[in-house]
Amino acid sequence: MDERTYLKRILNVQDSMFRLAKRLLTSTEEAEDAVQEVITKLWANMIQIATLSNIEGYAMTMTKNYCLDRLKSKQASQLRLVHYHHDKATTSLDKQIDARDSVSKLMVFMKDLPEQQQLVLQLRDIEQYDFETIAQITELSEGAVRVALSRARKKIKAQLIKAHNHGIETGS
Amino acid sequence: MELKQVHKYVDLYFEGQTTREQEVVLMDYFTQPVVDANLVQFKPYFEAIADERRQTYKGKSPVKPASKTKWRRAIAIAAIAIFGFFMTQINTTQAIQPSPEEIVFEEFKAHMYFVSQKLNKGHEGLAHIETFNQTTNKFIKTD
Repeated sequence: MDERTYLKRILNVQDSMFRLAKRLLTSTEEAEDAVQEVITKLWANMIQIATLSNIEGYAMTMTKNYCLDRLKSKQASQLRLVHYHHDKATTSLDKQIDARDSVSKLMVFMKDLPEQQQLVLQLRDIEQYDFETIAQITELSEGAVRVALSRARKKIKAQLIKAHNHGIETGS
Repeated sequence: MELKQVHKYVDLYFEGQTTREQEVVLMDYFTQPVVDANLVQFKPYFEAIADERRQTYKGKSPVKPASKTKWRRAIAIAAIAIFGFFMTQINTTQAIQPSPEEIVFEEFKAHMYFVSQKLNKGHEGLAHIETFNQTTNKFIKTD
């Protein structure tokens, strides 16, 4: 594979990488940084990665791992802060989400789901990957992916029905 | 698309049992302006998905297509090499081409060589005369 084809394949997946990074990191700026970082790494290791059959899946796995690492280091540095503002910690997420004008509508539905279910839902509903690729990216078994997806969607359904019955517009 | 089938797909969808093709059908259905009254509660989620898919990466690309500049550099180097080659070619052909003075000199040299050859031949004839002189001297012995 020559450089151009490789670059083209990486750039084809960059939007998906960005959406995944944004799902995990919530900030557009941080997500863009993450995508840049991962693309740089992918480019630097072209010789090894170009031999893989599913470059796109590999790029997504790298993005996921990079973002989770970022979150871990962020949590570690914010541990003291969270401790001092213990009572405010839970409400701050909602406030943060409301405050961000760029936040997606989807985040409203997803915010109460566990990270893994969010990830599976993102990869299936937004990126439309098959179960095999989702399993590769999330490093779960295909069975576990299916379970996570059905659980996530059931929760979404319950939320949607609840919102509808209360006459609350969650969508807009 | 029949409404009955959409209902069936919706049920399958929230169980996590739909195929990707069925999910595409659902997306198309729910992104229409008007949906069935019994399904309207699910519309916001599918709209949110459609919204999310429109998000693209707008950051800088850290990787520049280096091959383009590489090509340009290669072409520039090749052009300089070819130019240099032709220049030296012109110089050497100029060196081979003799000036009018040189032509005259070469002609003169050839003429002189011819003259010298003829002179040598004449000299050979003189050698015979010497031998003749010697033999006649033997005959004419005065003493």
